[in-house]
Amino acid sequence: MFLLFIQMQAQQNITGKVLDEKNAPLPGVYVTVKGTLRGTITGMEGEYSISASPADTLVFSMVSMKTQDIPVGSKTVIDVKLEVEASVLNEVVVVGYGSQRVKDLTAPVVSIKSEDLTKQLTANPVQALQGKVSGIQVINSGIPGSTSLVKIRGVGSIGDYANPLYVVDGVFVDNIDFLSADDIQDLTVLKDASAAAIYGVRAANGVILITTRRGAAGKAVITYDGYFGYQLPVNILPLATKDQYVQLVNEANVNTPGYIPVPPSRYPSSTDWYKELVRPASTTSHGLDMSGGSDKSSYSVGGSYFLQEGIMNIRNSYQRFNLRGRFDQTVNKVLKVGLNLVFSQYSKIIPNDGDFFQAFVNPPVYPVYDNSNADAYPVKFAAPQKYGFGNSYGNPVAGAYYWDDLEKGFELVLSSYAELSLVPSKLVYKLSYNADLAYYNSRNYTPQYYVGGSQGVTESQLSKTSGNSSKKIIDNLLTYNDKSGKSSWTVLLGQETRIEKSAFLTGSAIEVPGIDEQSKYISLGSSAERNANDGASTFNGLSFFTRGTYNYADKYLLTLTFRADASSKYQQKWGYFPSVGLGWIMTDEPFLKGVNNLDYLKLRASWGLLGNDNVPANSAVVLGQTGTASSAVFDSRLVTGVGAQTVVQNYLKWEVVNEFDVGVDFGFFKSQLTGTLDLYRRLTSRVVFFAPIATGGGVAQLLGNNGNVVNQGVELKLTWDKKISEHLSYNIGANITTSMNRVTKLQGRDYIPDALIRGNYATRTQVGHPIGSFYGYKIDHVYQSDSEAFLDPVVQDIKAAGYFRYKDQNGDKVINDKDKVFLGSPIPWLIGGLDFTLAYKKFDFSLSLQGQYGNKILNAKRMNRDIFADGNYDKDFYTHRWTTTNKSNKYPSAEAYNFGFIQQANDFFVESGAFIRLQNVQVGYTLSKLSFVSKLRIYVAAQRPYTFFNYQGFTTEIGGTPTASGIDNSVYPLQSIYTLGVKMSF
Amino acid sequence: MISEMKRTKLLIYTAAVISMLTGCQKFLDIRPEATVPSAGVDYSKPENIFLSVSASYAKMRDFGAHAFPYIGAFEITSDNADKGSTPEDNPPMAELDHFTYGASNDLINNLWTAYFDIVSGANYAIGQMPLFEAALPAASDKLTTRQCQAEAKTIRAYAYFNLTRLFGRVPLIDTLLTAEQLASLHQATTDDLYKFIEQDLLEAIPLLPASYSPDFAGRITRYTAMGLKAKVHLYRQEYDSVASLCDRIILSGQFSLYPKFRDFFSINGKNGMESLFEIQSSTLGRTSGDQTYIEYAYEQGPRGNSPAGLQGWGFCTPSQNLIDFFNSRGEVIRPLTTLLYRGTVTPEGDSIKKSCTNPVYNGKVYTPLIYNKWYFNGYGFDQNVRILRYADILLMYAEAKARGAAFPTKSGLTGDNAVNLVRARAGLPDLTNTTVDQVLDERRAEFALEEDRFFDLIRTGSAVTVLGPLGFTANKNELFPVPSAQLQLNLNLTQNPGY
Repeated sequence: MFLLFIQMQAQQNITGKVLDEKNAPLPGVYVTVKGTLRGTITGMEGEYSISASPADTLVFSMVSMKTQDIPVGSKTVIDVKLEVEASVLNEVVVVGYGSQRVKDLTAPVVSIKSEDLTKQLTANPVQALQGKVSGIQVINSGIPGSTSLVKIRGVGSIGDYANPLYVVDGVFVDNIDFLSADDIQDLTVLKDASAAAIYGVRAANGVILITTRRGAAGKAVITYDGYFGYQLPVNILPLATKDQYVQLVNEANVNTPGYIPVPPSRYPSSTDWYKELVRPASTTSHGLDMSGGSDKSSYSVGGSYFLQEGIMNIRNSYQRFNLRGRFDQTVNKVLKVGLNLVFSQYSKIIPNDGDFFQAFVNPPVYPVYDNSNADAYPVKFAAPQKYGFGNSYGNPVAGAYYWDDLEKGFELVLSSYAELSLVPSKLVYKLSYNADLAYYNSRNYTPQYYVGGSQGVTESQLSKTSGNSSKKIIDNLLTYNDKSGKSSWTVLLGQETRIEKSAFLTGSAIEVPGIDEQSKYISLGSSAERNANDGASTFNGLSFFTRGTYNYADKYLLTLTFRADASSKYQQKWGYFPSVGLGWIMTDEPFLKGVNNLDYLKLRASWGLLGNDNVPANSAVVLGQTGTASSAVFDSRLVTGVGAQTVVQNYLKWEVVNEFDVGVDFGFFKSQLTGTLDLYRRLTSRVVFFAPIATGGGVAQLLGNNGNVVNQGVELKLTWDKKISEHLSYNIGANITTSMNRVTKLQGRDYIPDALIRGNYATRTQVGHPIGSFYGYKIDHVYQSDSEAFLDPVVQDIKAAGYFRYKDQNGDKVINDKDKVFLGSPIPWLIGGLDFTLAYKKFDFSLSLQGQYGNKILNAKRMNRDIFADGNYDKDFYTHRWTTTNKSNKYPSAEAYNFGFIQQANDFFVESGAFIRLQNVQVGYTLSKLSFVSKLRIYVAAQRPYTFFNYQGFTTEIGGTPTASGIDNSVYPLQSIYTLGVKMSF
Repeated sequence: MISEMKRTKLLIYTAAVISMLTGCQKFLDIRPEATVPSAGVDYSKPENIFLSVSASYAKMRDFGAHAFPYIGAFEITSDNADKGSTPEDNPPMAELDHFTYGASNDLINNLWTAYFDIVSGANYAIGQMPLFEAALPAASDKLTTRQCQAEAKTIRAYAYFNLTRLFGRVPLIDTLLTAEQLASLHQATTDDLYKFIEQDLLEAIPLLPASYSPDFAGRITRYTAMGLKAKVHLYRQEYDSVASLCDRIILSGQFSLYPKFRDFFSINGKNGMESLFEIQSSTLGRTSGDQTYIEYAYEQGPRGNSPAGLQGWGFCTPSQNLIDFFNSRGEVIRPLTTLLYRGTVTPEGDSIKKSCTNPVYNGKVYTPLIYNKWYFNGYGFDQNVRILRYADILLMYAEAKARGAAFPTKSGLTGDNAVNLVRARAGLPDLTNTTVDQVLDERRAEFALEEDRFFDLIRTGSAVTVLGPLGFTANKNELFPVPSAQLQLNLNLTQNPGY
C-alpha cells in the first residue's frame, strides 16, 4: 500500500566532481538527495554519481566543510567546490534512538572515532577511553580478557552493577569485551541526564553508544590493520631477599619467648617469587574490512583476530575472532531496510591471579623445585612445610601450575530495521528488532597432585558450566521534524519491549583422568560423586519514551525527554524519568558579534532523572539458607535443614539519579582553540548496595536503599589545532575532571562500616565524607625508645620502641575506637589526560599521558601477619623499617609489624594512589599510491611504557564495591606493550 | 483513498496499543526461574518440622563457635595450655595466651558473631514451630513441634551461656528484628541474661525426650538441657539447683563412665554412654566435598608430623604447669590420654615423630590415622567437640555437696561417692570428706584441655592468683572486650571495664 505514496518521477543520473578550495579532489564527501535517504559518497578523485530528478536538491556535506545545497534542475553534471568550515558543529553525533547535529546538542556528548580507538593497542575498546574522555574513570586489570571497570561521573551505585549501559546498534549489553576496536565506527558517551534519560531505568551510570562500521557509497575499499607486540610486566614490586627476610624474622622475634634466631644458612636457596611468576609475552592483532556501496545500498564486512598471551609465567591467554557484516538498502523512496550482524568468538585460559598473594607472603628461602620432596607428585615442587612453614603457605609456582581454567564462548549481536519515510523528510517510522545471543562454556580442572602441607588434592576434580543468554529488544520509533520560519523542531515517540533470559547448567565429578583435553569429561569420572546444578533468570521490561527538540533561529535550543519504564524485577513496577536541556548559542547574538577571536560560544544547562534497575531480581524475598551449611550431622549422616535470616529484609525501591549540568562550548582563533567546560552535580538517592548490619540477624550484610550520595565536579576539555604549513600541523588536547563524592544522607544509621580485615572495619561511609572512606588510626609518631613509651601517659594496647604511637584524637589519654579518623578516600578527585599529535609530511607522531590524583589505596596485602607471621616482606619495608639505628617515624619495627594492634587500618597502610602514565607513544609513516595499495601506514608504538607512582604494589588501579574499594590484596600486574604495526587500504 | 488508509492504520495501531497494555501486567508479573510456586516452607507437612532445627544445629559447627577462636578463648587462656605451634605463628592467638588482646582481636570478634549466628538460627527455628503446630492437625505432630522448639531453645540457651561467660553483657535477641532495631540494641545485664537462659532451659526440659533412635545419636535430650542448666546454676552459685538437677540425671541411669578413660575420647566414644552434649563433626565417610566437619582436632594436631593425615596446626599444647600438676598428684591414666608426646608411638600404633614442632600436644583430640581419610589434612575431622559429659555431672554434684547444698537428693550418692567414681577410673584412691578445692583440682585433672578450666578459674575467683603470672589483670580479663567491629555496628554497645 505504500506504493500509493510514491509519485514516480523521471530519474536521471547526475555525475560530477567535488573539489576543495585549492582544487584538490575531495574524497569522502556525502552526496544526498535532500529529503530522501538516498545518498552516495565521493571516490578517491572526488567523483560521484547519483540518480535524481530535476526537482531534487543535492546536498554535499563533509566533516569540517561547509555544506552546500544545489538544485538539480536540468543539469546532469554538477561539479562542486566545498569551503572549509572552521568548526565541527555541523557534525552529526549519535544520540539515543537517533542522531543530532553537534550544534543542536544541549548535553555534553562525547563522540570518539574509530581511528582514536584503534590507535590504542588495547584488547577492549573501552580501555582506549582511559584518559581520553573527561568524566570517565577506567580501571584496567592485566589479566588477558578481563572486563574493565568503567565509572562515569563518580560512584553512586552498587558494586557489580555500577558499570554504564552499553548500547551496541540498539542492543543493551553489559560490556563490549566481544568487540574489537576495528568493528567500531564511532563510540558516543552520554554523560548527563539530558542525553541519557531517554534510556530511563538503565541510565543511572551513564550510557555508551556504539555504532559498528557501516559502508558508504563508492567503490569498494579494503582496509587491513594489524600489529605484532611484545609485552613486558611492569612495576613488579621488589621483595626482601633471603638474607633480608631472615634478618627481619629474627628481628621480629627478638622478644618472643622460646625463639631461637635462624641463621640464613639454614635455608638452601633464595627465590624471588614474583619473578618466578611473570614473563614477557606476545600479542597480535589483525583486522580486515571491506566496504562500499551504491547510492541505494551500502555494505561493510570485516573480520578480526586478536591474541594476547598473559604475562603470568603459565598458560594464560585471550583469543578473539570476530566477523561482522552490515547491509543497508534503500528499497524505494519510502522504505529503507538494514541488517547488521556481529559474531564474536573467544577463548580464555584464565590464570590463578590469587597466586600473586602467595608469592607476596611466601618466604623467599626455598627453591621452586625439590627432587628430594618424596611426597610431591607429579611434579617435584618444593613444599614450604619442609622448611618449617605452616599450612597457610603453598608453593606459588605450583599453585599457578596446577590451575587449569578455561572459558570459551561466542556472542552474536543482530540488529535489523525497516524505516518508512511516511511524510518525505518529515515523518519517519522505524521498527527495529535487535538481539544479543551469547553462549559460554567453562571448565575448571584440578589434577591429582601433592606438594606439601594442605597443598594437594587426592582426587582430581572437574567442573563444567555451560550457559546461554538472550536479550531481545523490539523498538517502535516515530520521528518527526519540521520547521516554520526561524523555528525548527523534532519529536521522537518510542516504545520498547525487552525480554532477557539466561540459563546455566553445571556439573562436576571427581577422579577424572585428565591426561589431555580429550579425557577431561565428567562422564569419565567416578560415578559416585557426580553433581549437577542449573538455574535461570528471566526479565521483562516495557518502556514508552519521547524526546522533543526545539531550535529557534539557531540560537535557542530546547531538548525535552521523558521515559516511563516498567520492570518485572520490582514490586513497584513503573518508574518515570524526565529531563530537560537548554542551549543558547551566544555568538549569534548581536552583542557578541565582532568580539575578537571568538568564533563560537554556547551555554548549556540540563536536568533530569535517571534510574537503575540493575539490582538482583526479587531482592525483597527472604530466601531459605539451604545446603550442607544448613544441615545437621547425626550419626555420620547429613539431615537436611533449611535456615533463614532473622532480620527483616529490606523492600527495595528504585534507585534514582537526579543530575544537573551546566556547560559551555567555545571556539577561539578560527576554532584553532576549542573547548568544553561542564559543571555537574549528580545526586543518587536511595543508593542500593550491600551494607554490614549489626550482628544477631543471621546474616552479615543486607542489600538496601542505604542513603544519598552526591558526585559533583568540573570537566574541562581543551583542544588546540594548528596547521603551521601545508606539511606541518599539530594538535594538543587536554582533559581534566575533578570529582567530589559526598554522602549526604544515610538511612537510619550514623555510618556504615565495611571492609572487615582482621576483625576491624577499614572503611566507613558517613554523611559529609566520600563513600567508603578509609577509617582508622592516625600515626602520631613511632616510639623511639622503651622509656619514651613507658613514660608516655597515653594508654594503648601495646607500647614499646618501634611501635606506632597513635594520635589521641579526643585527648582522653586512651587509644581506642574513639580515636579513629578518616584517612582518605579511594575515589580520585582529579583525573586527566593529555594528547599531542604532530604531522609532518608523511610522518606522524603522537603521545598521550594520563593520570589521577587524590585517591588512596589500602595496602591490605601487608596486613596479613596474623596468619603469615613468618611471611615475606617487601623491600620497601626492609629498607625503611624502624630499628635502633634507623629511627623512622613512619615505619614500625619488624617486631611491631606483626602485632594486631599495628596491623589495622592506619595511615601507614593507607597509601597514595596517585599515578601519572605515559599511555601511548606512536610514530608512523604514510605512503600513498604504491602500485595497488592506495595508502600504507607503518608505525611503531608503545602502550603504557611507563607509569609513575609511589604506591607499594603493582598498580594503583584497584576496583571494589562502593563501600569497600581501593583495597589491594594483590592483583595481576599490568604490562607494557611494544608494537610494530601496519595499516593499509586498497 | 488516503484518508481511508489512514483510518485503517490508526485502527491497527490502536488495536496494537490496547492489546499491549492489557498484556502488559501479565508480561511484567513473572516468577523467578528455578523456584517453586509457593515460596517458603510447606507447614502442612510433618517432615518439614525439623528443617529449621537442623539448620540451627548446623550453625554450631561454625569455625568461630567451636574451632580456633573457641580453643583460644576457653583453653589457651588458662594455665593448662600454651599457644603452641611455632613461637611466631598467629599473633592474635598469642595475644589470648598472654592477655595482651584488645578490642581489635579478630578471634574475639569471631566468637561474638558465631554465637550470635547460633542465636539467630535458634530464633528462626523457635519462630517456625507455632506455624507448624497451627497447620498440623495430628496430636503427635503437634508434640513434635514442641519438642523441636525445646531443642532450639536449648541451643539458644547454650549460645547465650557462652556469650555471657565471654562478654558478661550482650544484647538479648529472641525474635525477628529490623536492621535498625539490631543496630540500636542495648546490652542486657548479666543477671537478665542468666534469667533468660534459665527460662529457656526450664521450658525445654519437660518437652525433650530422654533419648533418640541411634540414627539421631547426638541430638539434644532432656538430660542435655538439665546438664546445661546445672552448669548455669553452678556459675550462678545456686548449689541446691545444681545438686537437684545432677541428681535427676544420675538417677535416670542413662549415663555411666567408660571403664577406660581413653575410650571416651576415641572415635567410638562419640555420643557414647558418657556423653550429654557434643558438637557433631563428620566427613560422612567422604574424602572431599562440602564442609560437614569442624577442624577442632586438626588445629590441635601434631605440627610437622607425617604422613599428612596425622598432622595438624599444633595449637593449644599442654603447659608444663599442667604436666607438673599431674605429676604432683601421681596421676598416670589421665596424663596418658591428655598428653601426646612427640617421639612416641601411640597405643593405637601411630608414631608421633621426633621432628614435630612442639614437645607435647593435646592427646584428647588424638585421632588414629585410620580414621583420617580426608585428603591430606583430615586429622580428627570425624572427632566431635565434647561439651558436656557424665563426669562433669558427677563433679558438679560433688562440688554442690561440698559447698553445702542441702537439697535432698534421691540418687543416694554422696559427694564423696561422686568424686570417687571419677577418681577410681583415673586409678586414684578414694577421698573422704571431699573439700571444694579437692573437687576443683579433680575438675582440672579430668577436664584438662576440654575448654573448661579458664571459666572455672573465673567462676571461683582464683583467676588472678593462678593466671596473674601469665598476664591476667584483675577487673579486666574476667571478661573479654566487646569487639571493636561490634562497637561500630551498634553504637549503643558499651565496652567492658579495662579496655
